[in-house]
Formats: sequence, structure tokens, C-alpha cells
Amino acid sequence: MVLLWKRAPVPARLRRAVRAWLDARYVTRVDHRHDIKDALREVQAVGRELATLRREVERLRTQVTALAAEPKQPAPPDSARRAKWDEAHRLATETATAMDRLLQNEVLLWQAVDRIDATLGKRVEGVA
Amino acid sequence: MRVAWTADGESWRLDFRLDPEDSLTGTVTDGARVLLATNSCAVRLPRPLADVHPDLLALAAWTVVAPYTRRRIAFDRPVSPGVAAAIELGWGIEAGPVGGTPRDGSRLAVSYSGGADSAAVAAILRDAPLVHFQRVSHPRVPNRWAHYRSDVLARLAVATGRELAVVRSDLEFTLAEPRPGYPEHHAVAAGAALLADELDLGGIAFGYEMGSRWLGGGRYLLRYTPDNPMWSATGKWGTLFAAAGLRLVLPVGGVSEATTMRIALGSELREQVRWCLRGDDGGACGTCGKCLYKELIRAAIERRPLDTPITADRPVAAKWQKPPPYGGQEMIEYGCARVPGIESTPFATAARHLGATVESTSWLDRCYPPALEEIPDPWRKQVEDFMAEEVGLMSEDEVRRVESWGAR
Ligand SMILES: [Zn+2]
Repeated sequence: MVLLWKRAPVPARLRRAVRAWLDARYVTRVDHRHDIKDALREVQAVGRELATLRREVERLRTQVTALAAEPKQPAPPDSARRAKWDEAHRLATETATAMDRLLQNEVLLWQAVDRIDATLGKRVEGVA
Repeated sequence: MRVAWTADGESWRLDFRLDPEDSLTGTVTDGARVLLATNSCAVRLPRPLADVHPDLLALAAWTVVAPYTRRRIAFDRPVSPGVAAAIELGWGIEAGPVGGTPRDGSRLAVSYSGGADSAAVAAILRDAPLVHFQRVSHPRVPNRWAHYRSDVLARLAVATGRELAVVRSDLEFTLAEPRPGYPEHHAVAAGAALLADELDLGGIAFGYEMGSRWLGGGRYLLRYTPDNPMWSATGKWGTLFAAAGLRLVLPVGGVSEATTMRIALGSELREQVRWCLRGDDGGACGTCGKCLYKELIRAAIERRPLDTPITADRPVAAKWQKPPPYGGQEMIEYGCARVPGIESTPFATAARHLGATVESTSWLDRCYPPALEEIPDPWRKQVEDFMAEEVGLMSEDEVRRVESWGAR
């Protein structure tokens, strides 16, 4: 269109009028198309969210069913649970302390082994 | 003591064996008693290295085993005569085998913890590479200190955007008592030592400030310590590091923690500064003893009331309810003199005992010149210029305040 105007000059007033008319139609249609597109996108997004929610509901429902299917056990009284935790904590602490001693004993054991090695080495040297 | 290094990819494993006269108990250079937990540890470098100079391996090993060594140290590779002599003269420990040639380098790296002190050093040495020590669990030692968020500190170091090497090590777990930690303070530089040839390092800059270097640090209370065996350039560690071609440099050795905090928070590293070991990615915990101490200093430099949920009855505030002396007392005086409303904070008792004023603590806002003289030649000018421009040097009267510290 630019080329056309260049080749055949059109009076400025007419050109303005035509362009305004074209622009009005063009802009409206484009806007309209955008609106529809936006709305569609919104619908699609909501659809996806719904699908996710549905999956989440499904997951929770199966979980609830599974839990309900489990043999019913009375919740242990708080003191019993606390005793269990205390016991686990005691065991963990004592194991860690025992581990510390074990590692230290290992160091000392190597020290003893090396000392014997050195003594034997000297004796062998003396014999040789 | 006998030590041996084994390289496995980027990981360097240190095994050590006690001689008959060695024992599980030891004494650190600062006088602290320690108990050995186990006799191996590893230092994982960012990348595999073809080899490491024996002097650097010896230096790194010595930062771990020095406390437990009674009579002699046998390295697995011959060390240079200088390194052997430094250990013999400094510790009275026979060191060998001797036979290697010395090394040297030209660059200065920053031992970067991410705290205000080392961030200040990094801000002063704008182009220096950072080496960050990241604590990792020891495969054999139960980790009772999982709240120590070394991963967060390492991420913050990366976030500085500086040239950085993160070194991961479990060497702190060779210490059973008092708790896992550096066997010698210098062990923080074990990774930097192993990387020294790779990075062409001739020096390593630490964030030890005036309190640690000249005022006795946390352990020697109220004492001027020009001959500080840990950090003076001519002390036993300074001499050993120099012998290994890695000079020990304290760019902020002449300024207080108030000044390092001011420098750090005024620098582009501000967002990455973190002195708390417990906080997560969201920030410092705000409830540990270190957070309380640093908040006092920060409130003081910002001249605002203390912002802390910690009350005087909390265990972390217990020591401030007793009369002085305190470790790092100069900063407690500085804070108490400056924080508005100190009488309604956990430091109220300390403030009453100390009776410090802005005037009596103003020397802590300037640089102690002898600390600059201690910095080796290639790097001194840069630090001198920074201190002259950004901090200012102490007057003769103020210098006397440093040198008579604890003698009042
Ligand atoms: Zn904290």
C-alpha cells in the first residue's frame, strides 16, 4: 500500500479519511480477536488448574481410603510415645558416644601395633 | 606423629598415626586443650590436581596434627629445610624427612568465611580470589552439629560473584573435644594451602582483626599480644606459613570489629555477609550468642537501639550477666557506650560494670599502624591506602590505648 501511494499520489484529506476508516475497522477487529484469544487462554488455564485439582482430590481420596482400610489401632497415649522417643534418643546418643570411643581406640590400637612393629624391626636388625 | 596424604581425584585424604609418645590429648597454640576423635580426614578441592608441593601438604597436615605431636613429625614426602626448621624452631618438634626445594607464589588469596571480618578483607582486596572452607560430615564420626549450616555459607560465598574456590573438608571432626572445630585455627587454610601452587599463591589473607591479633583475642583476656603465636608475622605460624611460600597476611589486623563491620556492610558484599552459622537461606537466626554479640556491634555503628528477641535470662546472654572480664571486651565496651537504651538490654549489667563512654572507646574506630607494618611488602600499600582513606590511623594516644590494653 505504501508503494501504491508513492506511485499514485492521493489527496491528503482523502488519504486521512480512508486511513481513519481502515484503522477503525482494523483496530476493532484485532482488538476483538485479542479479546477472544485472551478469554480462551483464561479458560484453558482454568481448565488446567481444575485438572490439577481433580488429580489432587483423587490422590487424597485414595489416601483416605487406604488409611480407612488399615486395621484400626488406638493412638498410643502421649506418655508411651514420649518414652519411645526418649529411648530412641538415648540409644542414638549412646551409640554415638560408643562410636567415638571405638574410633579413639582404633587410633590407640594402631599406635600399639606400630610400636610392636618398631620393636620387631629393631630385633630383626639386631639379628641380621 | 606420622602423616600420609593420598589423592583420589579432587579429594586429598590425610591419615596420621601416633608415635609412642603422642596421645589423644593435645594443646592448641592458643592454649586450648583438645581431644582427638579420629586419625583421618579429607580435603576436597574444586578440581583434581596433578600434584601438590610437599611443603604445602606438610603445612596443611601440621594444622591438623600439631596439637597431638610431642617429639617428632614424619611427613610422607621430603620437605624443604625451611619448613623443617620452622617446625623445629617454633614447636621444638623434629620434622622430616628434609630434602625438598622451597616454593613461592605471587598472588594473595582471601580465606573467606563470609563473616564481617573476612568480607571486609575481601572488600579491601578487591581482585583477590576467595577460598572458602566448607565443613562437611566425616564418614566415620557422628555429626551432632547438623544445625551448623555450612551449605548456606558456601552458597553465600558463591553469590559474591568473586573468583572463588570452595574447599570441602571434614577435618574439624578429627576434634572430639571441646567440639568439632579447627584443630588449630590455621586449619581453615588447609584447602588454600593445597591450592597454593594451582592459584599461584604467595600469601593468604585472614579476617583476624585487632582484637584477635593485638588484644589477645577471645582466649587471652585483656592482654596486649604483640607476640601472638597464632597471628603475628614472625610468630611460629607466621614463620611456618612463610617457609611454605604462603605468607600469613592480616589486612584488618589493625582495626576493630566495629570497623570491619562498617567496611563489610558498606561494600558490595553487603548482601552476602553472614556471621551466623545457624541461619538458613532466609537470613541469620537472630537467637544465637554470635548473633547477639554482632547485633551489639551493628547497633553501635548504626547508633540505634538493640534489635533482638534475646532477653537477659536466656543462656546465650548468661555471660553478660556476670562482671567482666569478657572475651572481646573492647567491643562490648564499644557497643555499651554507643547503643541507646543499653540499660534495658541483655548487656545492661555489663554496661554498668564497664562504664565505657564514646570518648573512652573512640580508639576502636581507627587503624593501629603497627598492624600495617606487619603486612608483607607486595600487598602492604593497597591496605595502607585503604586504611588511610577509609578508616584513618590512630594517634599516639590511641596507639597507647592498644599497647596498654588490660594494664589499666
Ligand atoms: Zn545466629
